[in-house]
Amino acid sequence: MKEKFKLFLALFKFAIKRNLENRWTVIFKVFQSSLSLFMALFFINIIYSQTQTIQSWTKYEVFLLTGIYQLMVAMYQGLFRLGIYQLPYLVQSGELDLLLSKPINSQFYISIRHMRPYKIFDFLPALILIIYSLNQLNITFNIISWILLITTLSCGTLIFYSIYYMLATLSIWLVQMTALSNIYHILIEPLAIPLDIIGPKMTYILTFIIPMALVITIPIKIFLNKTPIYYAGIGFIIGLLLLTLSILFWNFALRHYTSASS
Amino acid sequence: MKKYWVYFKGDLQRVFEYRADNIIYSLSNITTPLISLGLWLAISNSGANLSYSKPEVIIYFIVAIFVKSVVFTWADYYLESSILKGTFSNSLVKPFSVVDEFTVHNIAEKLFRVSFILIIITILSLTLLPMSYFSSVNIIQIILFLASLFIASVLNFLIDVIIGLSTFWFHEVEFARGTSDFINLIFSGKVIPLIFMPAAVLNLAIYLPFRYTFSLPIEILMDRVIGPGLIFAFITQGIWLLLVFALYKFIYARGIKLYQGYGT
Repeated sequence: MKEKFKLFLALFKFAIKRNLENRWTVIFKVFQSSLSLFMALFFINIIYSQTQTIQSWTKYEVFLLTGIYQLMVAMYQGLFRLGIYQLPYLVQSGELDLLLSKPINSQFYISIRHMRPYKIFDFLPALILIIYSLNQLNITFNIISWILLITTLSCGTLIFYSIYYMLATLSIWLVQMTALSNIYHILIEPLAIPLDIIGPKMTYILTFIIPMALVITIPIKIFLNKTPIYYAGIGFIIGLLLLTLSILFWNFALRHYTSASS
Repeated sequence: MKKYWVYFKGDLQRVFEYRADNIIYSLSNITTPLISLGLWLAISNSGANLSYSKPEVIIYFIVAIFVKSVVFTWADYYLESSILKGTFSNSLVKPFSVVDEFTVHNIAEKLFRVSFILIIITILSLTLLPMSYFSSVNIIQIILFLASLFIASVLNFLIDVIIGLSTFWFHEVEFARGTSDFINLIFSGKVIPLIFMPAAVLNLAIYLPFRYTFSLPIEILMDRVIGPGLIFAFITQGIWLLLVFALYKFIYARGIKLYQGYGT
């Protein structure tokens, strides 16, 4: 554990240096993500000019969801998105050989190889939006519900990470898998809307079979007292289960890895 | 003509070689309209008084899925990498420009993706729409739909090519692309049907090119553009096509003089 932490710190420092090298790109990207946040708010306003509620979701509750969504996306992109995204290229070029021979946990190393610390700037507009919508919703500060929110969102992160990593693992067999970045979009984009609005059947599927609702929607519903608290437990169990599964699957895949280099 | 055919066959083979990749690409292409469909269905179910009825919302986004897979292009990335890596030089000595090359490639890719998407669309329509809806569409509407869809895809393609060619000046395409995507989201009707937009946006949208790259064919098929409106729409779409084509020719001629052939 201590070694992993040391590795994380070293990679993080390295990532900061890399980001400082491309300052202008970083500034442009931060500008771009704030712009997309404003766009989302513009769209939500248009939608709510047509209706008061969407299946029990009011406007400011959706604002809160958008803020938390942006925060989580920034976190995923900052932590593990780029690292996992490059897995197919490692397989293709045979660089994975080198990586596997290092005395560290390969899955851990691959996931955080390419952190992007500048994503932390995306937190600011998202946090402003979260605070604004909490104000509008008149939610009083309650330490327990906040701890619960952070825990459930962490479990959601585990779920998202594990599913994404398992799909990326397929590249060991497929080798040519440039479409992985699009898989990320397929996974992340639906999270931007409350996933329980499509209907009870779909909510059930998205909770227990493809547990994407547990990533963001259900944590917020628990926070807003709209879902019984035991869903937090379900999220925790499914999160741990999927993480274990992704580790097992990765180790299984490595046994089938035939190096690309000579 | 023969050279196009040779390129086309090669591209088609490549598309089938990487079918898993291509299927994922086409799926990611339809995620946004699928999410929008779910969202607007939920809004419609919540009892909102929308300008579209519930079946119309379903039709809009099912057709949107089709239109999106027909008009899709990634010429900007292709041209960017071609210009920056210097492979652009190869096509300069051939009687076949890099834009021709990508056009053929794009058609081959579309053929594969659209046929795959048609399966999804069929399943979606059969499960979501009442049978009576299929008999109400007439042949003239379908012809007009296909005509405007064709112009829309050429228009969208040329805009994308122009963005790609801006690499000659800016050495990257990210900024032009980001800006265009941003404006596109509001004015093309991809996420929110234009009819739901505030009047100010709507009034601007009918003069900008973006509606004519996406929303117009859908509106025509839904019988929402009729009479003088239809004539106006086709004329505007035609004018934009001519303007964008002229701009493309101009930019290509100017840009080629700036090209320095980096790389090998």
